[in-house]
Amino acid sequence: MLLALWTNVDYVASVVLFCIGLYCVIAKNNLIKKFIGLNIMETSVFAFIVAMGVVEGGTHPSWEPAPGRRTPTPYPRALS
Amino acid sequence: MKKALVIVLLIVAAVPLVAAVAGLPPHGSPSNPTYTHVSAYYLEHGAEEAGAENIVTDMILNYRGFDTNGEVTVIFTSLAAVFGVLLLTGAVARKPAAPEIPVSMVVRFIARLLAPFIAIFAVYVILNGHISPGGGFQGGTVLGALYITVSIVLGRDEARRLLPRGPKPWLQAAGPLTFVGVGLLGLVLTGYYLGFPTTPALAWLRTAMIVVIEIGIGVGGAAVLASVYETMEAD
Amino acid sequence: MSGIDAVIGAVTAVLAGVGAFFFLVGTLGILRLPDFYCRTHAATKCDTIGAGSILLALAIFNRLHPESLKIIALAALVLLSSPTAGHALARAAFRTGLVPWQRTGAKGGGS
Repeated sequence: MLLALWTNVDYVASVVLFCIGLYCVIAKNNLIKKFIGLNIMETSVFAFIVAMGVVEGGTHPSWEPAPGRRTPTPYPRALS
Repeated sequence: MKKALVIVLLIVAAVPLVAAVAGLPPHGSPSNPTYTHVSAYYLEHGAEEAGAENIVTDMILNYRGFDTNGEVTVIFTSLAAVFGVLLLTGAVARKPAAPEIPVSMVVRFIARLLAPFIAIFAVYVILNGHISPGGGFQGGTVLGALYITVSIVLGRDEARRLLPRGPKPWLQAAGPLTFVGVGLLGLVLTGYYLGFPTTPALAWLRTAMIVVIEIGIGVGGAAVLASVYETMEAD
Repeated sequence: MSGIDAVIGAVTAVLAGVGAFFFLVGTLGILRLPDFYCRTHAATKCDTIGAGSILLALAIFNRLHPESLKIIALAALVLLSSPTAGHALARAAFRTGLVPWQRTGAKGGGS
């Protein structure tokens, strides 16, 4: 379990970010702070999506063809 | 009491998430399911098949063209919604002459200095979307922000000349219109709406179609952003 | 050759560290300072120096490459626009009558 968490530490980071945003939304009374919390949650979801597309040693998908490129699919998903 | 409730709620939210994350395939390994199925196909064939070197642009405008078509329409609809809400409350008709704080010299000078560079950068981002990261949405946002800056710094009347009354509705609808136009061109050429010709001889046409869509999205997005700001400012 | 590598690496590390430090200080300032003007000051400083030195570090890290020219242009843009934004914010707040915070006497302004 802990080993699996350690190999997926990027995902865990986005979960932590999500929980921080959730805390802001639930616990803060100020509406602007709630909105910032909502934004943090959204960003954590983007971070998770982008982290899913990472390949060890890969480069950005739109640059010159190389064998190890990252997945392009997450980027349009984050757009919509 | 409230604090305990919040902590319990957070734990209830976090535990399933962490458990799910621990069960995911290892991060960054090339044998992940996200990497092996459709993405591998896109990476291998996208550049030749879809018309743009940037695979993300390929996916957005070619493989997922319908979705982006809807998205562009949503942007246009948001403008219509803003107009509708403000017209219902009668805010557009009133046009109160708000007392304006004079803009400081520093802001005026810097905005005047940077405006041409921002405009060039926006055009670069829009036109280069099929090669490098960027594209219509991003460049359109930059153009819209430029309009808002000009409108704040140089005054409403100066900015209004950038978006004249006559072509304004056409500019606002530029995104959906060009998308539908290119889609109909694809219908004529291939028999499918938004179908891109696949023969190698027509590669230039594929690229041209993508560039036209990018320009349409950029102009339309900028015009929508600018007129939403204009309408809200008049409120 | 490796000597140049080491120098470039060290300069990059130092500049990026300075940038990270300024970002940290700026964030702390936004959280802890008492009123709007001080917070604007902290935010502007962290944007200008923090982002500027991190961008400079990236430009040096890329050496003589077209990318580094782009990054330097970006740094120039940040150096120009961020202080202007801070100036405009503070001026707008002052014109609308926000009283600066003072340690002694009645506490005016605040957030």
